[in-house]
Amino acid sequence: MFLPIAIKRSLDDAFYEFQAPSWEAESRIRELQDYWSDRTYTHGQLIQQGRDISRLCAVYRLKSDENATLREENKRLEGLLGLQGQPGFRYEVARVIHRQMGTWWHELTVRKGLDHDIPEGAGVVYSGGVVGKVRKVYPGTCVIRLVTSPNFRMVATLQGDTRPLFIQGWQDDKQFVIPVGRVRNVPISLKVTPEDPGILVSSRLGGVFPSGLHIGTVHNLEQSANGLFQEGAVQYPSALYHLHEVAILVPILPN
Amino acid sequence: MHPRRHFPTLIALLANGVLSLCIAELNHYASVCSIQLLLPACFILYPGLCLGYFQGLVVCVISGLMLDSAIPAPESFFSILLPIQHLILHRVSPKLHKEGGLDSFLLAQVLNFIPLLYLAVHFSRQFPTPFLANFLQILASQVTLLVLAPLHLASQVALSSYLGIDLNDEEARAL
Repeated sequence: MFLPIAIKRSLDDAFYEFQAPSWEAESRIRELQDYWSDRTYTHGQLIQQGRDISRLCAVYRLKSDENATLREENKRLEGLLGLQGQPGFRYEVARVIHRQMGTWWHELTVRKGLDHDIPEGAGVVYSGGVVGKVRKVYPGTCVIRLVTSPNFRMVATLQGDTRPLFIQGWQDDKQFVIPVGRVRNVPISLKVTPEDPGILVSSRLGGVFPSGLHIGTVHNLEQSANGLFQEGAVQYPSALYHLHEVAILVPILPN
Repeated sequence: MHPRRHFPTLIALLANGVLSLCIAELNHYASVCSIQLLLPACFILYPGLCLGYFQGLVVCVISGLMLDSAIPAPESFFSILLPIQHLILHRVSPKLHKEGGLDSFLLAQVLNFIPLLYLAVHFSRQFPTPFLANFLQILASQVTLLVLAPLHLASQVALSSYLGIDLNDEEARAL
């Protein structure tokens, strides 16, 4: 409180850097434990899993070819119409070394940072959708603020609709194990029911995430206090609290 | 200047570093229940009860900086909190058992509860936080403190006696 900001920032970074290797060592020990527990699988189980993975690989190879064709087609149409191309991203996969999720903050520390050109504010995703944004970057690690964190805000849309909404992290007093949030600024005309829930996906607005990444589901909407919009609870996938690996979206700058 | 005089300070710093690592590991697993354990009082027990004021202050300032860099609490929260808690504990330490006792651990519970309550109020002014979530988070921290604090203090006292440091040596405490 009484120190100049530069000294305070340097001390903060120095103490963080001092502790980061110990967290990394802890995560490596956890991985070693997982390795030895994986060694207990029988040959039969491993052969079965290998077969499942090769099937998945075949499906993903087909999807990848299909995506490449669609991307080419998209580029050709953009050229014909003279539209500006959408920003591209490089996916930097990183292991989670440390999780801090309480009532007041939800954060992850991952094992990649400035050394891998990770910028502050970059989007973070996993196989199930959006994870959050990079809050702070250090040489070997970076801190990610989760989409469930009460300080988190991002633009989203409901699947099949283009009108922007915004979501924020939230702590529910009934559900601690299931991550939840709030969606706000939902137009009155949009309807969701528990039988036909709305699926929230990311929006290109803001330039942090590409469009269409899964965020969560909304089962109910109620009128907001000002009466102009609706708002409701968002249920995120429970895997958000158990993540081991994430991908950071590093924007690809032109040239 | 005899390097042996700095052994208690080094013991306290080392033990606080190990404790911080253990709490980080506990928090990693507790995160699936959306609970984070915060035990600032655990870091000041040995410096407050067994070290001289300036030795303890150094330990508390360094431990506070370490916690501030790792935990996303308000700016400089632990760097300010730990020296204040240390001062309180140091002032009442002549009336407490140096190797731990019910009185010391009850005081630690109170010293741990107040900053957590402050954090709950501080964050509830920024965004709505349900009472039950705050209550469970504080309760989990207090219960963990009840278990960890005696072990943490006993390990430091045991290490001190193993190295032949007399914690009742008033001359050493005054340095």
